[in-house]
Amino acid sequence: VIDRFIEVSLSCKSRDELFTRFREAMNELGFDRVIVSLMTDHTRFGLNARHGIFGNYPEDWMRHYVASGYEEQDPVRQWVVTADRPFTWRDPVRARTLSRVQQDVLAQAEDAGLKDGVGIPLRGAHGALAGIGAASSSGQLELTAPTLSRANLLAQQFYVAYLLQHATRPALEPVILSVHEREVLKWTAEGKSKREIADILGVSRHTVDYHCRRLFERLDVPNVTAALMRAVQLGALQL
Amino acid sequence: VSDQPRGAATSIDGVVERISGAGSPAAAFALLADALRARGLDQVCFSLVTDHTALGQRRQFALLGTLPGEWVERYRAAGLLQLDPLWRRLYEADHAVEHPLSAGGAATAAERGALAAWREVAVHDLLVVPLRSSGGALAALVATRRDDVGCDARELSALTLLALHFYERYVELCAAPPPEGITLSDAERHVLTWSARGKTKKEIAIVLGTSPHTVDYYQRKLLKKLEVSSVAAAVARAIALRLLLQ
Repeated sequence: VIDRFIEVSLSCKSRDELFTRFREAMNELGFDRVIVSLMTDHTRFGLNARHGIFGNYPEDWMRHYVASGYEEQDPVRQWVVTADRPFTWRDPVRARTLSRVQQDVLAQAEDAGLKDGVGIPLRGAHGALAGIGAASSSGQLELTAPTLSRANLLAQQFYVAYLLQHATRPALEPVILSVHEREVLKWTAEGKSKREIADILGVSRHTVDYHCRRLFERLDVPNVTAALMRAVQLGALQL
Repeated sequence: VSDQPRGAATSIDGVVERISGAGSPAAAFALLADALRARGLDQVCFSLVTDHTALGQRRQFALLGTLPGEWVERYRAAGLLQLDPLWRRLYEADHAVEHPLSAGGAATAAERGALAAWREVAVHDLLVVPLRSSGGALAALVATRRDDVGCDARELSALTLLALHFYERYVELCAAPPPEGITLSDAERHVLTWSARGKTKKEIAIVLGTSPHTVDYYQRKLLKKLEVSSVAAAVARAIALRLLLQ
């Protein structure tokens, strides 16, 4: 399946054709329902974050999903952000962290004919994140590890081929934090105040302020909390 | 030079199956290296380019690999994991790319030194695959080519997918047991998400259609639940625990 899809995906003339081929390949694995979302802006490719840039989820469900504002609640979207590997929607460990509304979204999805669901995170350069959801309408699919791995690789190849179809813009300068900026963020993550950080680093409160202002400017954020989040997203900081 | 696919023995489906069955990172890597050798790649090396906090592992060059141990030692001792222009190239890449070993892109003496080091073990340009996981963690597979036939898009894709599959298995094998389930309520999650976007209490209150006092109440609940002393620390903790929607 995978070898064939590599060939096919690289010879597609359009993005629509590429998605159609991807859908067919996923269908061979038993996933007849597929959706592709850009979770972050893909600035280098001139693409904005959007839920469901491609997909063949049932139309009724999609209407209900949008009307109910499920995009903010959808646990699959949330898991895509934090998952390192493809996952199933029914993973019991993950399910323990769900709120009631989130459990409800999953149950409704299943009622709408999205069974045996899986989610796949796709990561590009500069913190770019996309996600793929796939499900079967039959509910007869066995979600074994090899099935999940194959779906993952098809999705990864789809993402590569999809990005190759877009002209890239000039590369962004990678954000590399200075030692001081990194220290400030690390201690902020530990819950330290600016005054405490100044004491720890043996510098003045003004110096810490200076590093913070530089961080805000470089990361285009209003405060340290957002700076922390942005630095992690850009891969400039690991927690 | 033949245009034929390189045979069923090296089909990606087959390799994926085998790597999935590997019981240790080293075993999984050996299978990957075999598969890549069959596709005309010689030396293969797997590095953690950033810390992998979720796995409790620090950044390390050539954690696994077929490169000579003495060469790897020298690379590490020279601090090249910081200086090598290869990693900048990796940072920019969405999939496998070729990295030239000519000194063209090397601006500093240190960068030229890094390229010279690679030329000791590689005859042709390097191939490098970025491997990413949550929290901004970045790893890399670097491979050297045996012959100078160049790499077409198909081979680069095959390399990307095999490396990604190895990485998936690696993360699975090394992952610490999942943290005890901390559950956030919908209100807590919303407050945390907006806080992480840099919004003030007042702004969050407007977005959520509630009062700043209520937002404050949920922020304090979050601090208690996540056992931290500031909202920024709560965001950091939530990222580490994989609770946060970015």
